[in-house]
Amino acid sequence: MKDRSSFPETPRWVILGGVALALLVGAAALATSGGGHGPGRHFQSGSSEASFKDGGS
Amino acid sequence: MGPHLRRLLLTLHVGLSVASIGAVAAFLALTSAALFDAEGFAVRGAYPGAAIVAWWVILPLVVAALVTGTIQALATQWGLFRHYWVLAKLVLTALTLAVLLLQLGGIETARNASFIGEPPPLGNLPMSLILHASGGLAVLSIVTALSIFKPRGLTRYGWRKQNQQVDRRHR
Repeated sequence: MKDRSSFPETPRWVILGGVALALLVGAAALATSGGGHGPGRHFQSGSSEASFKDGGS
Repeated sequence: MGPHLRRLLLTLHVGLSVASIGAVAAFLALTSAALFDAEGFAVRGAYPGAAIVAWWVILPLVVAALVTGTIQALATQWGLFRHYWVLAKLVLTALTLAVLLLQLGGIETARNASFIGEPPPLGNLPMSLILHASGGLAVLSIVTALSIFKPRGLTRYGWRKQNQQVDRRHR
């Protein structure tokens, strides 16, 4: 029977990177779940384009 | 896959990845110019330009980098899920693509608004575009650094595969 090494410890950079990514995703989720204040919610769909087509420029 | 084809694919993948960083930097420059231009003269040109860069340069480059990177990983001994650095690259690139796709709506809104008035009433959108582009630039730079440094670390799957290969060699 050959001697098998045990599964090595997860590298520190993977743990730190995972924690940083989880914090970043959590912060982004909190920022975007703030109701009607997020980006892209300032216009009714297609209203700006309609204005442009109507001679808004 | 032969060594010549492998090198060609690697060159293509590195070129696409580095080019995507440059494209995001160009997008960041355009959106920053629009935000800090008090008179709004640059806005009319900057947001349509940023939209073209996003749709026709950043999006194809990121998709192509993801596809070539996946082929590269699967066709070599690195594998897609064996090493943490390859897995991290895959996750970060996929995340960048997902955020980019989510931001395209906002970019279109800014582009359309740039035709209306000076300065266009965009609220928090200009700052959001700059923050997301800065984040994208940082993540793509980390992805490039991972490719260069290739930090050590086998995943559980990679460790199992490695043991299977050792077993086969000893038989």
